[in-house]
Amino acid sequence: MAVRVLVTLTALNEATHIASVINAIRRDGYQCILVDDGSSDGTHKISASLGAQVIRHAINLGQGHAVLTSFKAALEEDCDIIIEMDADGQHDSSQIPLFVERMQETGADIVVGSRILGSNYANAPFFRKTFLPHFTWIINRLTGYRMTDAMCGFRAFRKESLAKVEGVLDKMLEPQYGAAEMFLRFARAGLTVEEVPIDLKERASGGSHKGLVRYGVGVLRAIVRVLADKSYRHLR
Amino acid sequence: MKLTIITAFFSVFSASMIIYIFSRIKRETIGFRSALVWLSLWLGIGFFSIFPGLLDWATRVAQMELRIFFVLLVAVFILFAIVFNLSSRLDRMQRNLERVVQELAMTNYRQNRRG
Repeated sequence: MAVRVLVTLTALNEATHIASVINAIRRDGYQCILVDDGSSDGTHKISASLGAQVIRHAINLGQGHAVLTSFKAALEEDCDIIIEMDADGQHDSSQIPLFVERMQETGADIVVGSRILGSNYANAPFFRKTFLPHFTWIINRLTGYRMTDAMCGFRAFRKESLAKVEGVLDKMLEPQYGAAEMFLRFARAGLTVEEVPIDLKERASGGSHKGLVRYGVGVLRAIVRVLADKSYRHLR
Repeated sequence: MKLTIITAFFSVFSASMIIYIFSRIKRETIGFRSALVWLSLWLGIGFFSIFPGLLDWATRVAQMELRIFFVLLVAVFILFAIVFNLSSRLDRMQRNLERVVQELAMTNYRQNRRG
């Protein structure tokens, strides 16, 4: 039986890129859900006209919250694997089969894309090269996972595994820095993680909405808050 | 009790503030906790304005040289407590707002799917 894949996108003011991203996903034969996180540039209208199922946040909550909303919606859909991708065109939907194959080979609950293992990592920005391995090292030490890139937004989740930890998602304290918190909680819940190398495409225009220093401090704060949280300590 | 312009001013001002807070309680435009905090504050200020000798006593007990240091110290503590309380409430409200926005988005999504 063919594996049913559902792609989830989260977007904030991505009207210039979203059409090419959704068209590529649809061309590759995948269903697509887009969470519009309070865009004011018509991102939701373009997405809906291209056949994506659109969920709109009335105001901007941040990418982490949009990801959680996309998970909730995906869990109500008919699918086996949920792929999370960025909507800015940096992730290539033609690499989705790599995630699916890896998940089927290993039986992992989550497959994470690794930019570090990708062929174009040498061209990565200075800050990513400097801080990403350190943040990943901290998360690996706390979770027991062996990832090379814990912060990549290109990930695959087995739906049944995500459904098992749905309650965990509601308890997240810092969804804005979700990567760190999610892995801590998922490791505690016993979910397994594997990686695939991915190549990032150049961002056509615009920039990340995350400030690097603020993001770094936020990730560390999220780790401390989660470790101190009662719902995390009692999670098994 | 020695009445000076400054003590008279603070007494009248705190009495006006207490009346104002009661009028807001009557109109239900202030919550119970906030009303309690502000009433205590203005009652305290009014009390020390009417009996300034008590302020001298409190300053001596706190082993401070000048009354103004004691007043400033108390004011700083009260302000810190108010700011802490407000920031906790804001955090709570933000979390509630996030939940409402997410729930609303999901409700609309489910309705659109059905319709």
